[in-house]
Amino acid sequence: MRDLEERIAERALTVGRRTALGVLGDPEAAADVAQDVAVIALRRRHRIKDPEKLDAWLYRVATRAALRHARGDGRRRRREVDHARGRQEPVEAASELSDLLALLAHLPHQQRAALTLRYVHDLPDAAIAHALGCREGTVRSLLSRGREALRDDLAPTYQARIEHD
Amino acid sequence: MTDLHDEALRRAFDPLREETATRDEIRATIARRGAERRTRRRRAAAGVIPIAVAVSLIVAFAPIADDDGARPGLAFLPERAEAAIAPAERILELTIRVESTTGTDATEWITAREWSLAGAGQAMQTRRLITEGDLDQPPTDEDFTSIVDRDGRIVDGRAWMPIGDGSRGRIERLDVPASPTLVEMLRDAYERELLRPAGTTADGALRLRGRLRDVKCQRAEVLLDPRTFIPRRIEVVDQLTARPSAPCRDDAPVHREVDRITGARTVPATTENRELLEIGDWPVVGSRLPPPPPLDED
Repeated sequence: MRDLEERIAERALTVGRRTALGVLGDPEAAADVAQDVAVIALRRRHRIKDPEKLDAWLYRVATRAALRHARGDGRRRRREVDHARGRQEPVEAASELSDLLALLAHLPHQQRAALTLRYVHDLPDAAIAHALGCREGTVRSLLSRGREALRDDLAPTYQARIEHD
Repeated sequence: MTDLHDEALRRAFDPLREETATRDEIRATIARRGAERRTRRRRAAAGVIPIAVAVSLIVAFAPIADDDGARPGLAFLPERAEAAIAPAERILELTIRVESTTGTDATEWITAREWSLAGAGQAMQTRRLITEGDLDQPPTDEDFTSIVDRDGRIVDGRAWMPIGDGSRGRIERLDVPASPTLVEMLRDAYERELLRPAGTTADGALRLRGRLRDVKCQRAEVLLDPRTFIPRRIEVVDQLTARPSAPCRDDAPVHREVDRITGARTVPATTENRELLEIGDWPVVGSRLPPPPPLDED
């Protein structure tokens, strides 16, 4: 029984962390959002009728929590939490992760969310639209613009791939 | 080129796929959830219920000692309080208005009604209805019942959960321990001496202070009716620490919950009244589960 609670928490924290990190680019903020998502998931566990739908529900909650955080009301909370926790060493990100976060930093949060849902969670357009609460056409537009914005930055990567092949 | 760009994007996002929850984070999250009332928790140590019932029988007949002739004495207060919420052969019904605030989030309000009946040393039967609406309408949150044996194992547990627009619901078997009811938590706290007498208020209510659960970084205050020893108001403040092992800090964000008892009564545990302990007659979609087994009172 304890396992069930831990499994929900683990999955919610993981989905929440990956999604929020992609959207926010800040490991500590992502950890806060992930914990919020996990607490909501635990609170609503009785309402999760179909375990197979848990992920779809988590993508939606995590995306919206991350975007809400990005809009600012999360920042206020985070300052308070940081104050309460005292000074902590910044999370040391792996270099590849740092590179990715730097790439994403100049994109709008909606585009980051769409790209994260596609390239981290492998969601189709319809599922991304559900998570973002928008139309599929909007998703295609967000992905297209996001991909285009990253094209120059990633060009060396696939150029090397072409040369390697 | 597009496929290659897609592949490059997937590779670029690979580091995010490697981000997974750590054990510490899982524990911290469950602990934070534990700070909220509607959390899952294993029942108190074996033997709590039989002891509680025995105490209820003893102190129910014990004389009340006055400190100064005007106020009820505080001797045996936890025992008296425990007896008040575990009356023998009677069903206790409490109606509770719950005010809950986490950090700087907006305050949430819900209404709960709980019924409880202690078996004769064997089991505890409870029902809890939680709703944001009227208590005589299908609940917005849940209506669950459970019978728990003396070792804390669920003998039977089921819940009516709203579906769709909430006008109908589905009855499901509880495969995990239900949240403890307020009565269960109070009995546990009294039994384990987590709450101690702390004087009286200006209006004569009896005050107990301490913790409601055996966790760190919590403070609780319970005010009891001086005549009935039934709680009037319960306030629990949990600090939201980053990790369960983190030290308590007065300036940490908190989860605060105030339960105001807006109604309390006991009724004899007759066959008719025992229907109070069963899920309400709400519209149900799908087949019903078999009826619950009777409370073991032997």
